[in-house]
Amino acid sequence: MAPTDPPPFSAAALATRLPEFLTPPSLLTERLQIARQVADQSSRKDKVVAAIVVGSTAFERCSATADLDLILITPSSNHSTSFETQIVSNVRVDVERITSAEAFAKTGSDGWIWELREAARIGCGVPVYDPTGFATQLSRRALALRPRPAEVEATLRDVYSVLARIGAERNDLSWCEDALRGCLDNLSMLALLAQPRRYQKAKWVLADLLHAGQERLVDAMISAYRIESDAEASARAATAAVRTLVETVHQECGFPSHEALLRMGYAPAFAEASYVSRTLADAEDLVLVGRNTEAQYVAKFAARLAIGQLNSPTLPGATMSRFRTQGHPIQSHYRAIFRSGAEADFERILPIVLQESEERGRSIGVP
Amino acid sequence: MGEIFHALEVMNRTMNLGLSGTDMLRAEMAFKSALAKQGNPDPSLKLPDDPVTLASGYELRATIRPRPVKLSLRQLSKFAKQTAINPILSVDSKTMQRIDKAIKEEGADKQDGG
Repeated sequence: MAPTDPPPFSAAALATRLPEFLTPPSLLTERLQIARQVADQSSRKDKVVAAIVVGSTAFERCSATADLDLILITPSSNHSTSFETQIVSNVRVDVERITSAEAFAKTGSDGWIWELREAARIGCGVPVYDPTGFATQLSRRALALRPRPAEVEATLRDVYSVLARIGAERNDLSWCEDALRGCLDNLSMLALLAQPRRYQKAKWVLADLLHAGQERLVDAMISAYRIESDAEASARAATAAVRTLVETVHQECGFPSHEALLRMGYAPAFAEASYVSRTLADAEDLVLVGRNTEAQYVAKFAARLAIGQLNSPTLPGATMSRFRTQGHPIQSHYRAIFRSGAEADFERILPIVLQESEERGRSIGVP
Repeated sequence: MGEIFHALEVMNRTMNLGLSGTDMLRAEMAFKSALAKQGNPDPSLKLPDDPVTLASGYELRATIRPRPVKLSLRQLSKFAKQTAINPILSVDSKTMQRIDKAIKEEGADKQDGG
């Protein structure tokens, strides 16, 4: 393919489809009304400073059956964090109570991924009860946060080191392609951390990048992740292949099965494996709603996470070295997931990666 | 140990010391011997005193590399750009032949003691 040709499926095409997936306004209004109802009832029983709808409803990404997440902010003298669930008009409402001091702390600390995500959850929320303007104040604080410069620099140093190695390893195309995907993952994370929504999870990466105007980065990711069609069949094939890989990796590493991990929900004993499985489950959910490009990206990202588990320091050395062998079926299976008819388009992707890296550098004051 | 010999040779030339090949081999041996003593401070090991015997069980490995100066992010960006866009080129066979020839000649020089 010539460097000037567009990739087979583009970010622009994906961007035009995204509005289709937003929650319909009528459903959104209905859910916000339910949240207001719960907030009003609560404020009559206890002192409530503010009530904020967060999560998929706030991001306009919820379905009619999704849980509705509501944060009730209580005065600091009140009890600390607590959770309760109510069913209102057939909608499960998860109510989280936090004190105003906790809310203030969550939206004001110097941060990296976790802290910024927590702040964004409140900052991007929709206030449904805010008599004193406290929720608006929290939103302003959350928006003003910036990713920790030292962490941004460390991530960029990793990206640059990998890019320099790519130049020396051009004879190993498979490694170079995977390394480029790693660079793009890091750059997309940095790009998203600088945005109000921050980095939520793989499921929303492409949509959030497009929301942030990062079309060029999304194009590079579509190309590097070898997503060549928005067809449902491609998405189903990708998720099926990744499921086989994930199940094999879990089994070989002695982890619970993919389904068992999903049933376990929060599984701190198998944190990494659980994250891989939940990411794959997200990809399968995306296929069900027709978000086929995003489904392929998320499934393939799960494959990268699964292979990454083989480098886990908790795994016995013998197991690790066995899997790392190039001829091992897991490695072949992994490579097949990213195989494509065309050669890797380094000439298109590399300049984008370099430009994005420089832009991220400028965000922390590198001239 | 060849690196030490070459280092002495360079020093001999640049400082005009007028050392013969034998002098340089002697210096090389003395250097190894001194290192062997330094590396075995435990007297109970009862190392031989003879410098030739002492040095025979030792070899010195040396590498020359840039000092580990941390590049600024800007420098690193420039380096990554150069390296990624222009992959490292392999040394052409003509250059390799010239290098091989030079090594061979130097090896013969060393064996001849000059």
